[in-house]
Amino acid sequence: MNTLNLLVRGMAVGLALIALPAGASAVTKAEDIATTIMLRGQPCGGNAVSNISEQKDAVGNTVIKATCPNGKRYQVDVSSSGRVSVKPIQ
Amino acid sequence: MKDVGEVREVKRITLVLCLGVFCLFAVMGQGCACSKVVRDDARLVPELAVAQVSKDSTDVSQKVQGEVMKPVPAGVQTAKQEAPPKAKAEVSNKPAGNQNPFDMDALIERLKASQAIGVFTKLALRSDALDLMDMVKAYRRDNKRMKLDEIRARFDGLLLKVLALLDDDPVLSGDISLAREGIWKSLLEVKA
Repeated sequence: MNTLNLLVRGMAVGLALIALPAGASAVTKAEDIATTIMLRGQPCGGNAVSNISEQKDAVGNTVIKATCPNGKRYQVDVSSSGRVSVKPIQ
Repeated sequence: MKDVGEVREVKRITLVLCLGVFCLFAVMGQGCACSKVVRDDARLVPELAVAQVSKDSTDVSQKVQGEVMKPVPAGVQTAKQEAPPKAKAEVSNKPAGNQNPFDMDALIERLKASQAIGVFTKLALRSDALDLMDMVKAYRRDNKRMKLDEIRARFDGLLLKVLALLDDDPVLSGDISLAREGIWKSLLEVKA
């Protein structure tokens, strides 16, 4: 019984070690916004943004403001119809 | 007595860690061996890799065929029938079971479901695709204002972006790459 318990605990440790890097493969919101900014031809200087703020109006338009690793701040507009545009904030 | 208890505890912890590391290496070794075999297969027999990719796409398309998601664009069926010579050559190299490698709706659904691209990036790509469709419609209305080569260059650029973004989903990336000419043909046949 004791050996079985040890075996189960050992397998749990092994599985936990495997699961850690596997869970990190999904795209984060910061990476997603950085990719969107770069896809619109704007320089970002990295693959993840910071200081993300998101606002949604009554019509369904979403305005996201985020700062790129190069220090530039951008505004990503997502219209209710799904159109995406990016403009730098002065 | 206390020392003996501590020694036993240390032994137990060591045993648990050893078992954990053993399990880790056992599972990782198996995974590496599998991926090595697939890579070797793909390197030595490229036709096999193409057949694997098209087999996956056929499975997905068979699943999707049962569901009615949205009306198929008029161009899709024609594009399937009038495949370019290059695509025909690819099809002829494949086994008899993979006669239908291109299914626009299935590819769109798989792209929507892919975890390799984020939501906002997908929306941005959709905007680009809609812009491209508007360009095609404008070309149909007045083909003096815009050249077809220009639209094709934009299409290639957009496809290149999609393929670059699908770096973590190589199967879908391969399927889209194979269906390049079919997608172009269906884009040209969008109703004005």
